[in-house]
Amino acid sequence: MSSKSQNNPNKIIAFIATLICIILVLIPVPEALKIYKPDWPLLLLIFLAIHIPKEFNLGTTFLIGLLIDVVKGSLLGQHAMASLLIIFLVTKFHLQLRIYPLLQLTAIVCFLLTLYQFILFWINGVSGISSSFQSYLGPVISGTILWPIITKLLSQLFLYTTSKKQV
Amino acid sequence: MVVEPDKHRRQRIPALNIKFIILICLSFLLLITDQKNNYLSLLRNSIAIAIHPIQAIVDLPQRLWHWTGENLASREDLLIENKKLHQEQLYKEFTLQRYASLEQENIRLRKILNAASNIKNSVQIARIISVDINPFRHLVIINKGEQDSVYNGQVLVDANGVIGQILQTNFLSSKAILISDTDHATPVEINRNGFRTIAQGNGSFTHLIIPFVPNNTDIKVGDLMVTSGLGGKFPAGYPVAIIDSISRDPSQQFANVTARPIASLNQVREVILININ
Repeated sequence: MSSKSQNNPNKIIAFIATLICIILVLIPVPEALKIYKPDWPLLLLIFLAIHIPKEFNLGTTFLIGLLIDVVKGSLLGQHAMASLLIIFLVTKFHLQLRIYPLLQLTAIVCFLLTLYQFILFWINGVSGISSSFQSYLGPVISGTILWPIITKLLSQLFLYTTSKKQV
Repeated sequence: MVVEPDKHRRQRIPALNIKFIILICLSFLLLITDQKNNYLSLLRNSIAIAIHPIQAIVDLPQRLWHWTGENLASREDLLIENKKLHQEQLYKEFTLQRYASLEQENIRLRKILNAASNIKNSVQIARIISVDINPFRHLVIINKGEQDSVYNGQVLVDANGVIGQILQTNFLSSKAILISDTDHATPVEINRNGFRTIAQGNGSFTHLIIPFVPNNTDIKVGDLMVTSGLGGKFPAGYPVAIIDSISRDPSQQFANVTARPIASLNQVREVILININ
């Protein structure tokens, strides 16, 4: 089987996409858009967990989560734990998620993003950090709107590399 | 979508459940340790060093923009600016002449009172390299770290007033909390009459809350609040905020007082680190 040679470009793309995500997390945005800044790494992780779960699952998720914790200055393990739970669910049901139509998938991603924010909210609450309701709702809204675009874009990219490999 | 021969081999992710349980437990442990004590600074440091190049790359366009602005300014503008700075310099020197004699006098008086004189602090200039990392908190990251002998609790000021203090140091950079963060309170006193109180952040860059001010306190709109030096974190005498609203309700025990920070917390790029030791 040519699966070994097919995995490599996927891994490289995943690595580059992770780098871009971290840059997107770090990039400053205007004050008005700040609360609508989507959780780029989570959106990417969900996509990768649906499509290449073998190369890209919980270990990498945990590492990226820790990275985000350090970048955002939150409690170490907060984002790691939240994204672990989401990616576990996605990996568990990745075969079902693959065949869902886009609209249904978007609805599920919206639910997952809400769950993610809820875990962040819960850990913040336990450790005594208070913040407004909007700052939790913002990333869910923007993430849900951006999901169809991201998923289309990334599938094109993956399709391109894999088809080139097969030819 | 990704084309994969699913028919031949049904995909199973090896040891998914066990991995999940182990990693969740691990992150739970991390959370608890990080919340309770400071053992994890090494781990945080090493990750922060790994991310530092990315942070520098993200900061690059902004620095480039500044650089171009500085280099492409016309000669006329530069001359005007030069003249302005020259005048300002003269004025400052004039003020400093008086300051020198005042300082001497202060030291003499303090000797009489047998108090330690703590006027001269050494300073260090740092640049803010990243700001809005977390919408919940007012934290900034500066480009000086343990390498430049930055320490925990070190005070940050800008040209006008206090900005915040160092929360966490890494090797090459450190994280500072602003006085406007909801978790931060600054011990202050009113410069006019020495009334001691605290200035609490409430998540807004333009307002600090002054809690527990009794209704009959001598406090006016426009009063300057300076650090009181109590609590041992902030050296005394640096300006913090100006009172901008007071509402007294006779049925309440305390007045509602807010103050406007003097330092422009959301606009600064260069900050000054004060070294007390």
